[in-house]
Amino acid sequence: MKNNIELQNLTKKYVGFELKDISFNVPEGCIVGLIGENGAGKTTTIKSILNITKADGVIKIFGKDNKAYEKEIKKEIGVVLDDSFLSDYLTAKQINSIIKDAYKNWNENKFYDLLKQFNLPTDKLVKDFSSGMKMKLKIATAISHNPKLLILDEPTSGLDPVVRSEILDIFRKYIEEDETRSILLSTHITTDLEHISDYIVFIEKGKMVFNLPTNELLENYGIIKCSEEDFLKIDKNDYIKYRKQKYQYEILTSNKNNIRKRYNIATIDKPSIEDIMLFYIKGEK
Amino acid sequence: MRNNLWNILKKELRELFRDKKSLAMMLIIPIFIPLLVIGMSALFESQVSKDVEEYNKIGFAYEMSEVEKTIAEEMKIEIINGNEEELKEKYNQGEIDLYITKDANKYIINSDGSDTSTYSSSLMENYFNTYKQYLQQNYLQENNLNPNDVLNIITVEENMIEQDNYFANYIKNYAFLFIMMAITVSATYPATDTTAGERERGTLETLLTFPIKSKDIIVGKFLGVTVASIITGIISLALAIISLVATKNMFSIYDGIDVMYSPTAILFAVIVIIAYSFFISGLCIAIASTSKTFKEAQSALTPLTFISFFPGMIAFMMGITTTPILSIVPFLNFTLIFTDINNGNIDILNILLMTISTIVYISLVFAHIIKQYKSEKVLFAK
Amino acid sequence: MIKISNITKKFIRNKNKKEKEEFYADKDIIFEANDGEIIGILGPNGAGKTTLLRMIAGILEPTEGKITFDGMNYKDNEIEIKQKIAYLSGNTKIYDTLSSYELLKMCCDIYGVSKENSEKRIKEITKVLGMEQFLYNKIANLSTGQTQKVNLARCLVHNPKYYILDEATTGLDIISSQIILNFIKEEREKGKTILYSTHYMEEAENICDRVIMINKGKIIKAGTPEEIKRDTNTSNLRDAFFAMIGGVSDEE
Repeated sequence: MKNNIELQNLTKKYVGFELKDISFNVPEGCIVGLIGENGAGKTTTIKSILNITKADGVIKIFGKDNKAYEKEIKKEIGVVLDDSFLSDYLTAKQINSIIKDAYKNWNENKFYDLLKQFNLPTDKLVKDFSSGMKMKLKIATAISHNPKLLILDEPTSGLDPVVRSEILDIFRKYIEEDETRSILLSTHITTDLEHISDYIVFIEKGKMVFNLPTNELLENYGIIKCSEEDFLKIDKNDYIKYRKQKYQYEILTSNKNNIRKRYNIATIDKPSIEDIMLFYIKGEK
Repeated sequence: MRNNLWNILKKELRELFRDKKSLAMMLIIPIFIPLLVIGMSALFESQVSKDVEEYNKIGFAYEMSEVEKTIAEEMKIEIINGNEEELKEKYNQGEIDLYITKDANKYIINSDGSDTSTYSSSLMENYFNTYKQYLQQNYLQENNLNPNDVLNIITVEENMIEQDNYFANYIKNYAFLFIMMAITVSATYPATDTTAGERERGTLETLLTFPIKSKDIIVGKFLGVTVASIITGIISLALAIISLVATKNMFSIYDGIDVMYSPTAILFAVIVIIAYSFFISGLCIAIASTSKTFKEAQSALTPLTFISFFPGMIAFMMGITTTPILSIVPFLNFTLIFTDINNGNIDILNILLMTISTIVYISLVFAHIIKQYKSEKVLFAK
Repeated sequence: MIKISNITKKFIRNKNKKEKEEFYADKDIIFEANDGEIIGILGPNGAGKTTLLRMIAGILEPTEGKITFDGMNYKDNEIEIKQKIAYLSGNTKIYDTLSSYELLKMCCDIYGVSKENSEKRIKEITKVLGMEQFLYNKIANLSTGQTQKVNLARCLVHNPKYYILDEATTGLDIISSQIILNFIKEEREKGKTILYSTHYMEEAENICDRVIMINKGKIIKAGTPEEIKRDTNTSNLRDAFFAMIGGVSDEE
């Protein structure tokens, strides 16, 4: 299976913060979600991949080193970052005429189709767009040159659920159209990831906590609620973290079938990605 | 709440002095003042004591007599011979400073009116006067008359009653113009930043939710910019005074001349600095707060920098004197009256008119700003 | 209690140089928020939520209608009302050349909190929101989550009675979001009135007593989460939202 992004030991040092040894891959045909607290290192990771931030380690895109082949690589990447590249004084139409010459594969029809689908006006100045509209325009612009790889930092932040759902559909269709494509997106809205991502990478305080298939997280991970008595019976190796609540203990396990058999516990709740994050960040071992 | 005006002023001043760009704008013109004063003095000095070598290349389109050659040698004139066409060509090329042509008893000095030619012409006039005197002496002696009786029939002497203050006045007045420009420049950026800037940064919305009347907010901003301008004005004045002291010691053209502002002038300058700061800050804020973006505000304010400087400069160069009517023209009146005070003319009427008109202008601007600073317009100037 | 009666907001825009276009951001909005209640304000982007909240916070004037806070209105009691309000939105930025401490101190001064109380209050808030580590750092150097905490902190120094929160958790990770949500719940227990606008339906379901859904400037549904789910035949607010608004999010 070929990888569109390969990261090995990505490291970046800042005063007071260090991103250390981040290693994961984004395979072809997959959507990888990047999650973590504010300040954990998600944006730094993305900026390092794009060589906006200079970092150490092996960073390969389409099998090539991201620094040595930067120019060629960038022709095939669509990017949506927080800092808007959209000039306030252009209309969508003007953006089209400017960008179509910058990318070989710019598909003007696709761009206008997306504008229509998103209900975006073609002749209004960007500065008069609401934040949701701006985001939709950024995404339309990123997709319309048919890049092989889409990298997005918080693409659905500040959007209402209906729009979010539309955008996630677009991402899904995007991969279905061509199975050599991939998407890497970072977000706080973990509920969205449950619907579309294939893998989830969790970064906490600059280090990688896990890189797992979404299925596994949703199917095999579980939350057990029990009394202190029962908690003490469980082997430390069989769970990841626990949280002591008012009247009970909550335990996160990565293998709920195993726990079910060994300790004869009937009810094990299915966790949301949010729950899993909370356990890792706030739980104890 | 009275307190809140003070709180806003505190916040405005704190933001102002922490912003590197605002500080730069406050200091950029004042720094030029010493350069201006010293630079101009150096220029004057070089003009006064011009070395004769710089203007002594004279073309002669005729055969000079022995006497002429002697006189020329004594006066250190460099003789270049040639016919009229050759000399004209050399003159155009700049190789000679002027050329003399002769027509019977008439000698013609050919030059343009430029500075160097003036020195050269002076030199040649001196030369010919000397030659003429020689010829006259000769003629009288040949006719058995006493040259002294004729030539010295009257004598003329120049007595300097008052030292020539031309250069000193020049730099004193120019320095004042620069102080005015410094104040203007130091008001424009903060005025823009505190109105259009705050709106663009998004902090204006937060400010409007505080329990403070819009009136207090804008007055606080106005005072903040005024304080910055006054400080710039005082620094500029101080630098001007220091550079005047320095330049007096550096250049000989000021020997025996007083190159300093009189106490009256300094007092007047301080009052004008304060009054003008209020006026220009108010004007800048009025204009900036109606601009939609930061850039628009900056472009709208840039002309003010010129208006604060050029009318004054032109008036000064043309030697316009203050009249009661001119005393009420903003920007211009301060410079004109200051020039007068420097010259020792203190016209109470004009000063009074200037003061009253300034107070009226400041009040008008102030009232205008308060009236138009209302939430919706301020947030969504469209 | 906050009473919103027939609030309408009309904007006039220059469509082109000759034509002026009238645009209604909000039309005939009516609702009440009682003490000790959290009212959720939901709706798609561009529905008019932010304009409505700005009017309630006293930044915009309604074209028609009345807003009263325990009987007081903006025309007569502007300062008194603002003294009791906390307004937090994506558009209320804070002065980032100051440190968090300086900002909080400034807000204390502006709201008239006495000197001794200021110190106490700042200490309390710092502790609750977990800001000790970066209290004296310049705000410009803080991360998104930290900045949002400071923004919330400055709303609390004067012990407000009314909270107007417009997307207070957007852009925040789950830990920071939870701190804010827990805090809001505690304030409700103290009898405060809270207007809370969000795009996160799960949050709304979790903490709101009642919910108002706005679309294209009008209220399209109001009631408790239970009532709304019942009426739309859905099992969670997210689906209810889709049912009411669904598919087309029209933006002007």
